[in-house]
Amino acid sequence: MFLDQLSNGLALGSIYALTAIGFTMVYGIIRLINFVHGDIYMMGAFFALTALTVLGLPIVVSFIIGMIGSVVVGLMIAKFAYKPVFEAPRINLFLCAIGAAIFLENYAMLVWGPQTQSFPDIIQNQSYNFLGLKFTTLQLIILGTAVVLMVILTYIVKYTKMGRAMRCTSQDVDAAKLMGINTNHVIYFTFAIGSSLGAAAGILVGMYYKAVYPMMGFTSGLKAFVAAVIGGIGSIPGAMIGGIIMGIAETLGAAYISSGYRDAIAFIILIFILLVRPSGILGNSAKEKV
Amino acid sequence: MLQVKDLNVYYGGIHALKGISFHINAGEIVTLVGSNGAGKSTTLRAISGLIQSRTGSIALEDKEILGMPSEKIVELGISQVPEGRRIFTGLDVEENLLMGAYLRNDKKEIQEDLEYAFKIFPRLKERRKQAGGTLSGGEQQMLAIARALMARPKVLMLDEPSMGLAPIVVEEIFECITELNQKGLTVLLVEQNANIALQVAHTGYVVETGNIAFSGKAPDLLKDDRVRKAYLGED
Repeated sequence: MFLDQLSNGLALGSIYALTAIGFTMVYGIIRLINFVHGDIYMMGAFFALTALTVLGLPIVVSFIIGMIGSVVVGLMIAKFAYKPVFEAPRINLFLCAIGAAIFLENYAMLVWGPQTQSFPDIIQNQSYNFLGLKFTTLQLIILGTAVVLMVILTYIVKYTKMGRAMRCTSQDVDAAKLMGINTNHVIYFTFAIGSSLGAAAGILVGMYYKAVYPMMGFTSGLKAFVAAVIGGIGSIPGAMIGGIIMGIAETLGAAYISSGYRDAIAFIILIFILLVRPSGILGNSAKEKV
Repeated sequence: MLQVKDLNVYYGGIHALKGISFHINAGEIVTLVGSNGAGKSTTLRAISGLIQSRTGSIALEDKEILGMPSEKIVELGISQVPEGRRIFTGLDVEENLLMGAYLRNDKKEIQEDLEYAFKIFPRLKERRKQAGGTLSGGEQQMLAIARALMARPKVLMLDEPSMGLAPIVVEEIFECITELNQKGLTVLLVEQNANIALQVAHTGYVVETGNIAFSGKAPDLLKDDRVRKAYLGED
């Protein structure tokens, strides 16, 4: 029982982690809580589902289409909803994010209808024992996809020129500009990466719960945001750790306390972490040296 | 080399620069001195394209650069060492230096310039793999200068390089600025410490509340009564 829940929690947690990374990266670059992120995740799931069922494409291709579709949506929101108010106080950006979220949710209802659509069973589920834990095929696919995407992301951020530019921009926009970095490009690139990871998470969740619906991004978006805050907002490894903690806590809580508390657990952890360590697990609380 | 004409900058409703004009000849060190809030840093920020609401003219080798985005201005050859050094604390020394060469693609020459930077500032070489945030103030200033040089600028602008540093370190930094200038680099220096700035510069401009109050050859300004009273603390 406990071990089953642990593998459930790991699968769910890696999905939260993927979503939380998008939150944390955008926050790191432009200090915006990007509340449209959950809806980008939903759009990704719908794009992939449409490619899979309507166009009849293979799952891997559909997956990639979902990610690309969400990147396009994410970039359009950055360009048309955020760019005009980049220089304005952050509250304006934040309001634009909420507006864009409401727009996307309703747009999805218009296009795909408000009802829940089922994600077809395409994976033959078998049980595997792995490190003493029991995993289903689907759980292994989720974990594997999440790990591969996070490794690619870490490589990009740590070792590529664009990654270095991202880290510089997130630390000091003006200093980055003085290096000749086109910070607008960096911002768009960050949105693109965040959106693609968000879409991957949305598709994985659609496959896991076999359900895709226009409001699916709302609660998950909030929980992923909580995961990012728990890990220390702005920190990518923090988002990964925060996501995993949230996933495990939520499944264990649902199993041992009551499944009715499933959604409350995220916020209980949030309150606890904010009391004990306000900057999050890996958050940078150190004062900057001048 | 660099010609600034009638530069106006507005911060919201505040008229921060009220038509500043000055010019720098190739190979010269020009300094803008003046008290806090006079508009010296604003001038540099406007030249670098960090402030967009500006009017007038800024020409680099007769090419108008006002209105260009900051990355284009770096590419054309103006680098700035910003006030407070602004090094990337999370990146190590070498990564910081490589950021200075962000727009260049000539890998071999970048490597040579890196070695050159370590030759001018041997202390940076010792700390090559250390995070920028762990360096002392003087070392950070050296890193900021070396980082700006990595772009191979035609004009190097320095904003308050002496700020917060011990006198002996200030001397070291200014010796280095003089040396770079002797090797042919054109320098625009902004300083509150008028004394040391006018000692190394060829030409000085005194900035007061958004205007150039007066200007002259640096040695003459050092002897000027107005400068001595207002900026060198003598009566």
